Amino acid sequence: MFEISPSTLDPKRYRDAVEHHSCGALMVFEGTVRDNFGGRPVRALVYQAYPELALPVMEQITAELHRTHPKARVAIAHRTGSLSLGEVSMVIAVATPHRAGCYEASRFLIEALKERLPVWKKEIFADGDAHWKANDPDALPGAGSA
Amino acid sequence: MANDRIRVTLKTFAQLRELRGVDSEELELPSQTSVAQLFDQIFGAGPLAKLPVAFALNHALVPPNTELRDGDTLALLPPVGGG
Repeated sequence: MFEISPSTLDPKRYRDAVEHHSCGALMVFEGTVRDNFGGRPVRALVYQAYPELALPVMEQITAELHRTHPKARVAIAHRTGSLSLGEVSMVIAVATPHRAGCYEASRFLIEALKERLPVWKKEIFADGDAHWKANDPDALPGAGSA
Repeated sequence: MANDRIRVTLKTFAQLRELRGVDSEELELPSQTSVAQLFDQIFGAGPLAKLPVAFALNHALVPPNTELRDGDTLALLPPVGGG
């Protein structure tokens, strides 16, 4: 299950999508809106996405995971729009037969998505200033191990 | 429309979109324009001229020297910030 959504994300929905009797481990990662960046107070985040490419990138990254973790079950969702402090911006649910693979898979997915998912974030600071913030100045969609 | 002109749809995101003021626009261009040349024509003289960008043509990533064809949709993708 891969989604880009303008509405509140319900992590349980993605958890339930990956749950399976063949899997003894299940993890749900939630990215949430933090109240500061480098100590500077943040009031909100605005996310923009390019769904026509973001959904294929989610599928591609999951296919790469399956090379090393073929039994992993994956659901990924990313929010768009204006998010308040504490709101969930991203959910990665993964289930695997055993716990070690589950930690590995969850970490692989979040790192690859931060690097390659065509989604953009604007930080709205408490003082009214705002700017588009890249995860890495050179993190362009499609870069990476593909 | 003359044969040596093409029409393309340009989609922009993040700071590029704010500079253009629209999500999407229709452009008429000389044929044999590459995706990188289009970026330079629109943003090359402005504050985002040095921004690294990736190019998606009809929703698939392409190299900078890819030539645009009539009816294409080009998306200009700045460094990403999801998560």
